[in-house]
Amino acid sequence: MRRAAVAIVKLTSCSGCINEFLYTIASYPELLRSVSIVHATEFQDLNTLEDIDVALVEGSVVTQHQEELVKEVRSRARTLIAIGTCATFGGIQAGRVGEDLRKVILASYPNPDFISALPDVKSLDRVVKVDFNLSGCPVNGDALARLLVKVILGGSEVPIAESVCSECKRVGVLCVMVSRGVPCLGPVTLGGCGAICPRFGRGCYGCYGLNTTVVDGERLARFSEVLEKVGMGRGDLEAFLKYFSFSALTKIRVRE
Amino acid sequence: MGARLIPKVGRVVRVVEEAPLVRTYHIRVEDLAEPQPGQFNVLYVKGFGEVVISISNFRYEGASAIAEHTVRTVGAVTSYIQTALNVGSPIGIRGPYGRGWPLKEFEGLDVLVVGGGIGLAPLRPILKHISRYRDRYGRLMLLYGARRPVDMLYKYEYGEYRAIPNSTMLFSIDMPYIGWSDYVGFVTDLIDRVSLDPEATVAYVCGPEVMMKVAASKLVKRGLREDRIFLSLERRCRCGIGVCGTCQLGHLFVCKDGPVFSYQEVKDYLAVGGL
Amino acid sequence: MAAQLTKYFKGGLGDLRALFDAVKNYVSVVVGYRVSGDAVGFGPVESLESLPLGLEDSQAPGAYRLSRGSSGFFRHSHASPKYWLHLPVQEVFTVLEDYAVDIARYDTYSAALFGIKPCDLVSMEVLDRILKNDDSYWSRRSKIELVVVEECTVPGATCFCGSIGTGPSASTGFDIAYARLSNGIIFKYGSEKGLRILEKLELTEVSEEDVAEYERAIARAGELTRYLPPPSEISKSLERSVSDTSFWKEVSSRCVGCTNCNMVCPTCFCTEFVDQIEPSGRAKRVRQWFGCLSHTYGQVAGTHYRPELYMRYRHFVLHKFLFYPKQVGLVGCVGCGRCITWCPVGIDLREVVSKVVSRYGS
Ligand SMILES: Cc1cc2nc3c(=O)[nH]c(=O)nc-3n(C[C@H](O)[C@H](O)[C@H](O)COP(=O)(O)OP(=O)(O)OC[C@H]3O[C@@H](n4cnc5c(N)ncnc54)[C@H](O)[C@@H]3O)c2cc1C
Ligand code: SF4
Ligand code: SF4
Ligand code: SF4
Ligand code: SF4
Ligand code: SF4
Repeated sequence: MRRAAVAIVKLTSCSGCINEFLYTIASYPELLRSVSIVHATEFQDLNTLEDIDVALVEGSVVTQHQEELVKEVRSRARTLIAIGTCATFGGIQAGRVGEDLRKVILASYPNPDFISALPDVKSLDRVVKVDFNLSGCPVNGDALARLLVKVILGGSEVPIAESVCSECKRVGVLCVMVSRGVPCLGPVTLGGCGAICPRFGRGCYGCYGLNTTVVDGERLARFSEVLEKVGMGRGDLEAFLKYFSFSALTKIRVRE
Repeated sequence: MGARLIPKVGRVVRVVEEAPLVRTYHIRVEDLAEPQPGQFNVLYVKGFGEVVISISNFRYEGASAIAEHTVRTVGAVTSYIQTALNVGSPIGIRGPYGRGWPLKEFEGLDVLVVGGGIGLAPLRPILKHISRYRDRYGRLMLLYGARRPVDMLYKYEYGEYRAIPNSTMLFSIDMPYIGWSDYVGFVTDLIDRVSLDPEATVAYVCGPEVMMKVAASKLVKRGLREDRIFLSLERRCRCGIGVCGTCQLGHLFVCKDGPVFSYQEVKDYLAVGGL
Repeated sequence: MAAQLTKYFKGGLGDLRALFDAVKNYVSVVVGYRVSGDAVGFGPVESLESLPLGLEDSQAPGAYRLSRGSSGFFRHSHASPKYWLHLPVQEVFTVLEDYAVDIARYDTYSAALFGIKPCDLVSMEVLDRILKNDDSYWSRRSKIELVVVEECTVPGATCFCGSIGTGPSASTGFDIAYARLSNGIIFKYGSEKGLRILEKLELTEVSEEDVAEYERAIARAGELTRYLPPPSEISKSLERSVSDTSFWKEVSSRCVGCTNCNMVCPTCFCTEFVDQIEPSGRAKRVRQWFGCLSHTYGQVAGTHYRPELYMRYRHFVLHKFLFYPKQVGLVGCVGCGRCITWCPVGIDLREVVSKVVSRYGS
């Protein structure tokens, strides 16, 4: 079998998803043998862009340069997979949207003059056509590997949109919210993590992003009342949503 | 465990290009029971999943069965079928499943077949059946519509259909095309262009659900009995044998109670959106 | 009256232990509610100590708490016999590189269910009928050789079995049932097999007084769980409500489609299939629980058969009270209240059904 040419593109992000991918690929030697990494933003000797079978893009678009880069990647890639919540929803850096950009830059960088950020933080699907969105902070390496194999073999995956709760119940985890009153965003969050947080007794904070196939602004507002009752204030909820579901918030109508 | 969900492994022996993104796969498989017209098989492509596909033709060649499946590329599994399956490819197959078209019960009646697009696939065995047992039925009327002339299925067989004695074939396309001299408009409009003996006609309909609803209500207006109008319905089908639950339409499992239903059985359910 | 007396025996906690041991000797594995950590699941139970006998659950819409206490009475948890009979995630088959299909095998053992609730018992009957073609389910179900039911003298706050007639006592389909009363445990048998096991225990005869007390306790529990009009009245009202879109939108307005209700419902059986493949070409097909409240459930290429959430919620309710009776001749809801307790937003099925009946009842 011809090795598939894979590009690992990094935009604004923490590299956690790329790390996850590297861990996973290291534990699937067979997968390693079927790909050839032809571009990787973070590896110095692999930074030219050729024709690509699969582009794995981590991170969100926050500069003009990135916007152009993503468009170029798209034009060269047969398949483009957005990996991680930065790429699929905007990610943590979306937390700065709406703040004074200059102040944010001054607070973050010793040499602010080199920074040219756009005021918005965009998920990939707001810039180019994305073939698969695999969210998660970080992305689920196994899920990524499974999808990648299918794509390499010339196919794709039947998508499933369900909540974290579905996974919780299949695993048989005791619901932290119902049984202990711990605030949990699982009911409105896309599954895919295997309910990691509830398995460790913690509430989900929504890192796979809002399940917008179901949750609109009205439902979110009503759900926030439930969270409030168990002690999660509006401020915290808004912060989580901004960090992990930013592009969804721009799409759904949020009730004031 | 779970033996009912295990496919038999067959092989593609022929691929026919029917229309853009539509192909008919002839699949050879050992010991597959003979299907009734209107039944379906579940096709499995290794590692990518299963799809429910009507049996559009069937024959035995010695001990092995040859099932024909006309597949339209629409999503994950069907795209993979389109890209990866060629003559010689192995493919998983289980079936036949479901309740097909009731034909025996209506011997002696005129037969009206109304198909839209890919919906001709499950109707094709009716045409084959009638041509084989011609004297058992009255007039045969086939009304078939597709988006464009190029989208019509089984074009290579129309000569054969036309040769069936005492039959009428009317075709329609959605939008005008150069060289098209038949009807332009909805296939259901063609119902107005055939003469029907409402007392002695049975209708078999398959196509998009809206089209089937329009066809059924037109036929009812023309005086056909609701229990003599049959529709082949579609829902999200996963298992094909009534255990996954996802094809339910009201209390009916499309996969095992159907996919063919009389209009009388389903009209109340179809009238409410999202049941 | 005298004829009835032979149905019952009386004993104490020691006899329950003896019963457990007798049952354990009878089969390879005893299965039931099982304490594990701070939760109660459903699975193999090694000894009486693993049963939630000393635990008390308190349930309310969207709330569940477990506490310890010797007088505690345990109803149920998010788990049910479904977790054991209809595995949440099960491998269907593996396909090897050369396309040879390898059927997934699970070891199954002769099993006894111990301490399941009357409502659980009926939920199994519902599953039996709906999954009659499911040999994976039956491979486990057919290995159940003995069923011991714990009847409910102290129903939970979300229980409504009395409305459906599925509890608080067991009527058929069990071998042995017992009820814990303040002054002892009443045992009864539902089969010859059950009688033979009970006869070997050193149980005492019941007095008329005991029987009367037992019957009072059950009747009281029945009263406490009778919230709703009879199921036939519910289905008739539901039938009339079907096209009242605004009603269904209103009752489901807080729902977020999380599918907790489907997952915990002991009669929800729906499943999704997931396919995996390795680069070598070895593939696996996995089947897992799937809820009709999820978006993907009714979605197909190019369209969606229940595109809006209210349609999905409506299907859940209609399926239980209107469609199951047509499909399998039983109401699909056994009144256990799990979907009420484990709904994170606390949507109360009893309330929804009451509203339907008050609006559309005769
Ligand atoms: C009784 C019956 C007969 C059918 N006969 C034919 C036929 O002869 N030819 C043909 O081309 N198509 C037929 N279909 C439709 C066909 O099953 C779907 O187009 C196909 O499943 C799409 O799968 P996909 O993976 O490409 O799409 P995706 O959207 O990626 O589907 C994912 C999964 O959803 C399910 N699914 C998706 N669409 C449908 C659908 N419309 N109906 C049922 N399940 C669906 C399948 O389980 C599939 O694996 C029939 C459907 C039914 C119910
Ligand atoms: S713990 Fe959270 S994710 Fe799990 S069922 Fe409860 S609410 Fe849902
Ligand atoms: S619908 Fe609710 S109350 Fe009824 S059986 Fe299911 S979980 Fe129990
Ligand atoms: S309520 Fe939904 S998930 Fe439950 S059995 Fe019915 S269709 Fe399946
Ligand atoms: S619903 Fe009835 S039978 Fe079931 S646990 Fe509650 S009281 Fe017992
Ligand atoms: S558990 Fe509650 S919120 Fe979740 S899907 Fe069911 S009714 Fe809706």
